Amino acid sequence: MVMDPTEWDVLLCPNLYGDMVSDLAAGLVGSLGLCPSGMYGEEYAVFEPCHGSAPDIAGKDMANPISQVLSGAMLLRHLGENEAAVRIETALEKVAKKGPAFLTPDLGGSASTTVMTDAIIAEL
Amino acid sequence: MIRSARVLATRNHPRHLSTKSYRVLQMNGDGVGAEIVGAAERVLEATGVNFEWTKMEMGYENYEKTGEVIGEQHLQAFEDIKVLFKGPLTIPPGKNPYTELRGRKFTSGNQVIRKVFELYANVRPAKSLPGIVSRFQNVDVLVVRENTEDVYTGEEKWVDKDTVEGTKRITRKASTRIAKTAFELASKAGRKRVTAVHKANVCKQADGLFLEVCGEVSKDYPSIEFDEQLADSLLTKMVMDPTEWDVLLCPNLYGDMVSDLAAGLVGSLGLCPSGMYGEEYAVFEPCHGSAPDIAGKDMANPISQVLSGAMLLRHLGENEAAVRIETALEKVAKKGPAFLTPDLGGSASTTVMTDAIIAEL
Repeated sequence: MVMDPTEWDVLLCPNLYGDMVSDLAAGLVGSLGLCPSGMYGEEYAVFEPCHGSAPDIAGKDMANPISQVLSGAMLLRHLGENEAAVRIETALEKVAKKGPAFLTPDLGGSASTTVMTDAIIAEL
Repeated sequence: MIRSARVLATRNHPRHLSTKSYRVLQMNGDGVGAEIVGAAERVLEATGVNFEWTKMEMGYENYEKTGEVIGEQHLQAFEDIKVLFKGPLTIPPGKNPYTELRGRKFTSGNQVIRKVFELYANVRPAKSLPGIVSRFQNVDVLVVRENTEDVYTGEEKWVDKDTVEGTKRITRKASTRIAKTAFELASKAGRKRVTAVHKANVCKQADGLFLEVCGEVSKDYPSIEFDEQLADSLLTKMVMDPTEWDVLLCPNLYGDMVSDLAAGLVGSLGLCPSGMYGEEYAVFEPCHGSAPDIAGKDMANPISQVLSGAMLLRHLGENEAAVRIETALEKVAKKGPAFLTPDLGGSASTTVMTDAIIAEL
C-alpha cells in the first residue's frame, strides 16, 4: 500500500487487520480530516468522521468539515441518493483545487469552516 | 555436508586489524541467495574484520538435491557456532515439505531455526538510502518485534462448524526479554527513544501486560526516552511523518505489520536487513525472498544482504566496520543508476554494485 496505493480497490478485512488498514489508508490520503466512515448493522446505519472531537479548536470556526461532509455523502448513498452524493464529492474536489483561500488551516489554508462550507455549496 | 574454510581477511585494507577472528555459519539459501550472500561476504571481508566461515546448504534447492531442507547437522553446527549469516529460502506453498527434527514438526527451514533456538527477537531496521527514489525520505526506524507469542501461537480450535477460536498469549517473560532487547539495541546504537506499540485500549489485559512490562524495563534505561503509541494510529502517523519514530517495540502481530510498513516506506524490501536473536544465538538475513526468477543472472540487489552483514558486525561488537559498510553504501547509492541494480531503477549488475561498495570502504 505504501509503495503503490493505487493498486487497491476494496479491502475486505477481519476486525484487527481492518483497524490497521483503515488507519493506514487515512494516513495515505494525508489526514484523518479527510476521512468519513459508515457503520452498518442489519437494519441500522451510522455515519460519522474518523477523527476525534478536537476540543482545542472547538468554537473557533476553524474545523475542517470535509470528513463530516463526506460522511453525509455516504449517508446519501445509503438512502439511495447516489446522484446527490456524487454532486457533493464533485463540489468538494472543485473546492480543494481552488487553493489555500478555501482550505481550513489543518490543510495549510486560511479559510474558516464557514468559508469552506459556503464554497462547497456554491459548487453544487 | 560441512565444508569448513578458514578465510583470513585480505590485507589490502590500510586500517590496522585486530587479530581476532569470528566464527560464523553461512548458508546461501535458495534463488539469488548464493549471489547476494557471496556479495555480502566479499564486502564483509573487505572491512578487514577476520571471519572463519563454516558453509552449509539449506533450503528448497538443498531438499531437491539431498531430500532434506535442513538436517540435524545444521542444528549442531549452529549450536556450536551460534551466529548464522544466511540468504533467503524458497518456500513453495503446497510443495515445501515438512521437516521433522528433534521430535517436532516444522513447516519451513526458517521455522526450524527460529523455534529450536527460540529466537525471540525479530529486529528490522528501516533506513532510507539517499539517492534511492521513494515517496518518503529520511526514514530511520528500528522495529523490534517479539517473535514467539501473541496471536501467532498457532493455537486454534473449531468451537463448532462455523466458529474458530484462537489464543492470543502475552507473557511477562516474553515481554520482558523483548523490551530488554529493544533498550539494549537502542543503547548500543545511540538511539534516543523507544516507543511501545499496543492496543491496550481494546486488549486491556494482554496488551496492558505488555505495556506495563515495557514501562518497567524502561526504568533501567533512564537516558532513553520511553513512550507508547496505539498500533492503528501509529500506521497513520508513520505514513504522514515517518521521521518522527525511532525504536518501535512491538508484540508479535503489530510488529509484523509495522516492520513491513517500514520496509515499504523505505521503498523496497530489497533495502531491508533483519536480525533474529535468541538468548545465545543470532541469525542475520534479508527481509525479502529468494527471487528465483532472477537467480543466476547477476541482477539481484545485494543491499539487504550487505546490511544484514552490518547487523552481524554490530552483533559481534565490530561497530566501526558496520558504520563503514553503511557509509560506503550511502556513497554508492548517491552515485546514481550506473551503480544501482535494476530493481532500484539502475543498470548495474550485482557484481558492479558490490565492487563499488568495496571501493568505497
